[in-house]
Amino acid sequence: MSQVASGAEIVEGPRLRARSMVSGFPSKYGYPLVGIMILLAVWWFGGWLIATNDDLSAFADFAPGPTFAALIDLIRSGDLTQTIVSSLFRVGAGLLWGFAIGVPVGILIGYVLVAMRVANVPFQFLRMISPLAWMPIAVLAFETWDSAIIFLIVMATVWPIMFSTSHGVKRIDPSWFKVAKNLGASGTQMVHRIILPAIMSDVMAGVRLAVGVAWVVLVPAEYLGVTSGLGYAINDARDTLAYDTLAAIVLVIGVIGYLLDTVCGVLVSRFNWHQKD
Amino acid sequence: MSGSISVDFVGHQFSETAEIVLADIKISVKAGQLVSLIGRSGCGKSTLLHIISGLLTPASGCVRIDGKTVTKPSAKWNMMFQKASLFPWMSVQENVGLGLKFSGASKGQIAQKTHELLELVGLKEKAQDSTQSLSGGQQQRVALARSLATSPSVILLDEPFSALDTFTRSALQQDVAAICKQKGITMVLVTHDIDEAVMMSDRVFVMDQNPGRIIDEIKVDLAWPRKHMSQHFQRIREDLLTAFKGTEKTESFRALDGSRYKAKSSAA
Ligand SMILES: Nc1ncnc2c1ncn2[C@@H]1O[C@H](COP(=O)(O)OP(=O)(O)OP(=O)(O)O)[C@@H](O)[C@H]1O
Ligand SMILES: [Mg+2]
Repeated sequence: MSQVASGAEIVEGPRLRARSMVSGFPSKYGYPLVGIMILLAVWWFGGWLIATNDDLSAFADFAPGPTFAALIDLIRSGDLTQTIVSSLFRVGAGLLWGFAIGVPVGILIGYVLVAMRVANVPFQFLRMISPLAWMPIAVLAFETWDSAIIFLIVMATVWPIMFSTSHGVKRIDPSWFKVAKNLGASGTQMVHRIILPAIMSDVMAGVRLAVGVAWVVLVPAEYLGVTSGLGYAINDARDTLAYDTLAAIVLVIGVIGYLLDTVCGVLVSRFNWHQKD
Repeated sequence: MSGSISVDFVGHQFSETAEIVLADIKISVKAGQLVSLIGRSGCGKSTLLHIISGLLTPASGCVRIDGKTVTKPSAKWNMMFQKASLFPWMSVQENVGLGLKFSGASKGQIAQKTHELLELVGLKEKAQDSTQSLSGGQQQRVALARSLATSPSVILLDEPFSALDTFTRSALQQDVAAICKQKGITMVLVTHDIDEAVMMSDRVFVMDQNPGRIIDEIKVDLAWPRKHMSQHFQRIREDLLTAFKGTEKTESFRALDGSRYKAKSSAA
């Protein structure tokens, strides 16, 4: 599989090289850095506007200075780690369930035409319901707050994973089965060497989408009864008027979300064998 | 030498009510012989090849390879298709070694065999490449190497060159025939191209349709490697065209023969 990746790079090669001859460093780090600087500048400017406005000066702690100070405090006290771990645990569990349900069902509806026809309308219908709309039902149906939150995340992750998986299965070239059978593949070898690698890039693309949605859904879901996690921390900071902490948590949510997406992006390209246009 | 094929009164229809696709096909091919099947589109050539390979079970009759009835596909008789159908998530080398991997060969054996075969098909430098960076002809060469990796005694080719340009096709025709002769592999080739049939085979079977059956057999007793321009080559081609004429309605015959054929011989 690593060879596939290197092959893809060869296809990309000339274009990347051509660009990097003009500007090697900027294209990789420079441009993102400029983007970050602009964001910080806007933030700082907003903070300055708030601070200089008498009506709003109570919110001056949203500015970068107090925020980073609060962030350092959060990290030092160890509270932040605890908060992040609880949140990641919920997202991870929700994702795992979404994967465990989404992949097999996706394979089924991708492979069996009748299953697709039967499932299409109900699944498209369910998919369009915001996972947060299940909140009251989740609270009634589950004993613990944690499982209710995980349920909401499953409702967010299962659809993208399911639909990408079935898309991947539909893209399998039937002649691969013929060739593999001809080369003497057993049933398990067929699954392991042909079917799974063939659909893996689509499955991972689904996982990437799912992680994005799950992370977005997580914060409001954690407004529910729990007393840990990033969503709870935001709520708590608001109630205690700790706006610097609130801003620090928002910052952390953004950074972790970005990192999660980056990791998924790496996984997607690791498993991707589709030709780049 | 192994790899003798006997097709015994094979008949086929895809369902009870469907039309009869093949009727009483009887062919026997000696080990190491190269034979071609030619016939109009839809006469059942691919169906017959699938039956020989064991990918399809005939409605009646049976196929025996080396005296044993074929019941399922096996790496001992390999089929190649019009499309190379390489696995794009594997490198060239991994594609070639796949059959050996399935059979549980050791890493060392696989490496040695794939190296040898990629050298044979002239793609040694591409071993680590992605299959998607290869040209159509190179992809078919990889597919050929992949088919040869399990050391089959028979290879079955279903129009494997028809998507290639004339030069690539001609080079591959020569190479495949030479490899089969050298390794003593029995070859059954399905083709639309009369030149290709004469170029690559010891015997050519002409098929007619509705139901698909063999109506003629032409022996090609030309020396290897073959040259297009020889008198003898032209004469055998004429024989085949005549045999073919019997199977065709006039209008479609001209489409198959006339235009394409003349263009080719004038270019040669
Ligand atoms: N899976 C199938 N189910 C039903 N009928 C089929 C099937 N495959 C082929 N046929 C029919 O069997 C007949 C022979 O098909 P086949 O593909 O063997 O022809 P062919 O000689 O290989 O044609 P071509 O030269 O176009 O490849 C055709 O009439 C075709 O419609
Ligand atoms: Mg065919």
